[in-house]
Amino acid sequence: MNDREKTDFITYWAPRMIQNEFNFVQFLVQDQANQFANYEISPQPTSFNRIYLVFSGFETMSKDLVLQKQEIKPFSRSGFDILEWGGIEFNSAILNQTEL
Amino acid sequence: MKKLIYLISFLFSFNLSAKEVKPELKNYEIISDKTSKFISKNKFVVEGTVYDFYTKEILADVDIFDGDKTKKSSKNGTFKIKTNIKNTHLVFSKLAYKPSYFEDYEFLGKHHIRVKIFLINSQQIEEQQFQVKKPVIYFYSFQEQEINFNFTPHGKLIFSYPKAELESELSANRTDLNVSENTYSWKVSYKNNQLTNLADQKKYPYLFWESEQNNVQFKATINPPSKRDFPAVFTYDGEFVSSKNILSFLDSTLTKLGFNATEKTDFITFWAPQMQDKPYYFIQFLQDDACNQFASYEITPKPDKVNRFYMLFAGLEQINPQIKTKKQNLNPLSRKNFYLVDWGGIELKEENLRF
Repeated sequence: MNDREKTDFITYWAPRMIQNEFNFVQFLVQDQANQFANYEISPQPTSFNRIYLVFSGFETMSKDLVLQKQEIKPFSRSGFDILEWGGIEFNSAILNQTEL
Repeated sequence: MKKLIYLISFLFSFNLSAKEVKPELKNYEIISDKTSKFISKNKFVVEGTVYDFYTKEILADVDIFDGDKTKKSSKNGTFKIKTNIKNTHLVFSKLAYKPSYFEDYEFLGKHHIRVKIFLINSQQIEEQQFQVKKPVIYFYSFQEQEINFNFTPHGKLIFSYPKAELESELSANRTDLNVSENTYSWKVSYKNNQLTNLADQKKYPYLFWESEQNNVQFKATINPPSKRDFPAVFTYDGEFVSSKNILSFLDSTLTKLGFNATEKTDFITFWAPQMQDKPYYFIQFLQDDACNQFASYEITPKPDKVNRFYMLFAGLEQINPQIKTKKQNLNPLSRKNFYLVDWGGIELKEENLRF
């Protein structure tokens, strides 16, 4: 992400996240973001990069949750490219329910 | 040709966090409303007890004004007032409390109304914490230069990007500077429309800070100015906008003031989604020096103009015709030589509109 995109993203999300003692952070990229909205763009872009931040705040770190660090591929930014970022804050109870 | 389209999408419809449950503020509660043969047809009686809104303690010595006369609540917080049906409301007031209006109620002749009245301690209002959100500061200059940007938020700084340094630590051994304990600083260089933060040598499109502050109020003129003249009329600078018109209202306001496309889009995509939950919003703008109440800036070299523009707003279930407003005359941005554009805002509460 370039300076502008990075700053926009961080100044939007970070102030919300620092209100929590801990945050569980997951990124959904590219097609994984279709669960929020589908796009159809013509002409078709050379690259279409999507990154969504999904997070929830915790008072303490739960030992019951098993986590695996994500590998995220860098964006390809050639030709006619689109970059989209977004995010959702989940209630931490939702994470507990789905994971346990 | 490299073409870049930059889309920002916020998913606010996924409102899964259960954090915001706002209590409904009701300043009175009707216990009963019955006709009585002992009351004449052009009079009604209101009888009840006055309580502190938050602590539910009984409040003695509350002044009750019906438009003709003033009565006081007893030691037990009780009162009884007989009044003429030409009077449309009762006002309950007590030192250190916000006046409470018993109004928007159909007062009928021969009726005996029993109520509970609640007063809000103004101390408690002042202790509400508000978040000064998103002051974003853009720089424009024809010249290459290094800029020292000191800012003193009037509240606790909660976030800055790039990270601002506490000036008192930077200048700990400088006795010639008069730096407040809450003064932060960025040192940046400006070249070819780009801002580089000297501390990390990275480029940033703008500077950003957020703070937490109490004691924020909407600006209003009070008429008559003396508190003894009753009832006081507050006229708030600003206007009511329905949530469906927020987008066009902000767009036309910012366009008229000379915001450029980037500034306008940044402002609107940040604020408009936060102004959709309630059917109406009261919106007030503060410009330039009036924004010093949130943070004061000290910039060297001195810019030709620091354009500051802050929005105060509160969501409302309905427009209260009792709240008087006056449309604001706003000054267009001055964009010449070396200048800054700084925008931010604070969401206040509906009760901040009633003194």
